Amino acid sequence: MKTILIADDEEDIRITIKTILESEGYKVIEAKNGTACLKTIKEKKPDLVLLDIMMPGTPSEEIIQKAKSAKIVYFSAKTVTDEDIKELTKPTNVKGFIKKPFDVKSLVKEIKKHAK
Amino acid sequence: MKLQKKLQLAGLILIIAILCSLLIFSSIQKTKLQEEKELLLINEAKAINGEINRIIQQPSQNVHILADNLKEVNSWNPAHIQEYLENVGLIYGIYEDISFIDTQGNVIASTSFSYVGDWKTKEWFIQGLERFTISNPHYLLNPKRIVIEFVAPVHDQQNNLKGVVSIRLPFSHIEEIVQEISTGVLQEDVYLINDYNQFLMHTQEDKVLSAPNTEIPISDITTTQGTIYYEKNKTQFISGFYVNENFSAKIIVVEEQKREIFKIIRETNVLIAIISLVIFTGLFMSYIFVGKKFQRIKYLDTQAKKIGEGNYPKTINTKGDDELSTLAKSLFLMNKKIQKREKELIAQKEKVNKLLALKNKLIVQIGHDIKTPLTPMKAQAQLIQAQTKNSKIKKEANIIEKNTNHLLSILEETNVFTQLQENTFSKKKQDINPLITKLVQRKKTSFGKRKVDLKISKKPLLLNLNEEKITQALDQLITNAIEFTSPTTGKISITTTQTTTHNTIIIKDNGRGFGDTVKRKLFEYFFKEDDNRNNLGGFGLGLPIAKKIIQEIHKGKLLIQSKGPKQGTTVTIRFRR
Repeated sequence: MKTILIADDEEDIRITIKTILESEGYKVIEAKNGTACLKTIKEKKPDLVLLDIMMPGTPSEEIIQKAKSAKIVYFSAKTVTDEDIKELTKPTNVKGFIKKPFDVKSLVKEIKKHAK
Repeated sequence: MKLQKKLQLAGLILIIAILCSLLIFSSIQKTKLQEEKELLLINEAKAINGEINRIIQQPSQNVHILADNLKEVNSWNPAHIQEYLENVGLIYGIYEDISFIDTQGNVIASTSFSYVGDWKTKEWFIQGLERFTISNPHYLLNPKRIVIEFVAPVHDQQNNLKGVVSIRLPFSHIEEIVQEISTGVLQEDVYLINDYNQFLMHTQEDKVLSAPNTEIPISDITTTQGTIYYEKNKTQFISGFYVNENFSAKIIVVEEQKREIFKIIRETNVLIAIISLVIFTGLFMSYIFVGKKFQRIKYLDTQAKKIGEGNYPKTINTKGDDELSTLAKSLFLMNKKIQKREKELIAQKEKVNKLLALKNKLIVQIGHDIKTPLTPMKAQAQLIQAQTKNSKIKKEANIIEKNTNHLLSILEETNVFTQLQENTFSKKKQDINPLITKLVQRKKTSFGKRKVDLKISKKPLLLNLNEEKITQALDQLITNAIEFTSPTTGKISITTTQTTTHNTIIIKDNGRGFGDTVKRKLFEYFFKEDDNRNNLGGFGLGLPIAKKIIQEIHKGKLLIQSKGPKQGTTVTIRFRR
């Protein structure tokens, strides 16, 4: 069973995504800030991290740098252009970008793609 | 033309005008002097003539008396007449040749031996007789012997003409005349010329009897008085003349013209030189003065240009108290005021920019903060619809999802619009055709049952594009076409063409179209054709966004036309090649 880490400071979002991904058969663990996220990655070594760009605690850029072995998909409500996305997904451990809000179907599709 | 050049030209014209005036003045003066000189010469000739008349008057009277006394003679015997002539001559003090000649021209008696002879054969005498009637005294000038012949008629007691009495005065008498002239009023060259155009006498020389003169054109004289011009030894002369008919002579007063003219010209030249010098000095001084002023004008011009370029001079020299100094002072004040105003404007601009940045930040932040709660809302609504089998709940959850989407689309439009305000967009040259094909493919589900006709030009439509933004604009325009056409009978055609000058994309539909009222408001912010749309989507920023992307970011032209309501819409996007 693949483990997915959801790092988001919004509890409702974490619960919603957890519900969705668990129904798809994933094991879902949570982190409510950057610091907890980095710690969880080191301890639990999840198969995929769904990382909110703006969170309290350790900034997302630092997490990317420090968790080189983790597969990360960015997750944000920020208005970004295609070019911004290209720039953000440059690091090799960043696998994708999911815009908030999302369609349930497209979220599942994206997670399945990266959490093989 | 520059002002300095104009002033220089004006100065030059002024100098030429003054010189011309001086030349005209001198020429008028010259003519005037010449006329005066001519008149003077004629008057001189007249005066000389008067002198001659006065001198010859006395012998003429003597001849009359002699002739009158001869009438008393009883015997016409030549010996008696001879005796009588001598006596009368003695009485009247006439010592020269006195002769009596009969009407046939024979010399009857004479106090001089040389005078006896046949006068009929003497040409000058015959001419004299022909010219003058013998009844009056005459003065005949003998060309060969240089004498003056005074002749008076003699009648007997029965008043029959018996002959003429003649007194011959030698040339010394003429000399006397000339002497009188030259020592009297006139000191100039005076010639006395006889009917044969011979020079009889000249005031400057001894007595003369020359061949007909060729230098002075005496034969040209046809009037009784006037002037003649001629050249002698490359010197021009002017002469006044007067014809004494009684004395049968021409009096010519010679005046060397050139000398006089030179004198006039010399005097005029000195005058012109002095005037010119004064004018040139004046102009030179003006030139230097004007030049200095022009330097000042150039200085002020440079300062004004600096102000114009925003390169404000620290100070402006305002020396002097003339108009230029006033201008400099105004410029100085202007410089200060403009600097002050510019500072104010910059401060205001910074303030406005800060406020704009804050506004944009606020919009983005609001967008983000609204999206965050909308994210679980949307997902939960979708989850409920997926998980429940109760159709009522499903329907209600769908309402939640739809409205969440509406809110999201408003946020999206606002965000995109804000992004367009502050960002610059990188572009690269690429073919727009594949982007359109891809977009149409992506929107396949949105088209539904509408008939879509895509005609892509064979040639690539190479344009400098920001792929994401141009796609966004096209998406907006195609979405509009979908939205405003019937889901069942709607027809949408998308055509791309290339001409020598333009790349064109046309999106044409058979939908609702619009009238003039709508046409005017199409690109207004927050304009929505009918309020019912509120529930369906947009925020009224779609077309302004499309226009901004096409016209401002891509320098193209966006045209939206309709023949009227229900007549369909044609959107033309045109880029210059």
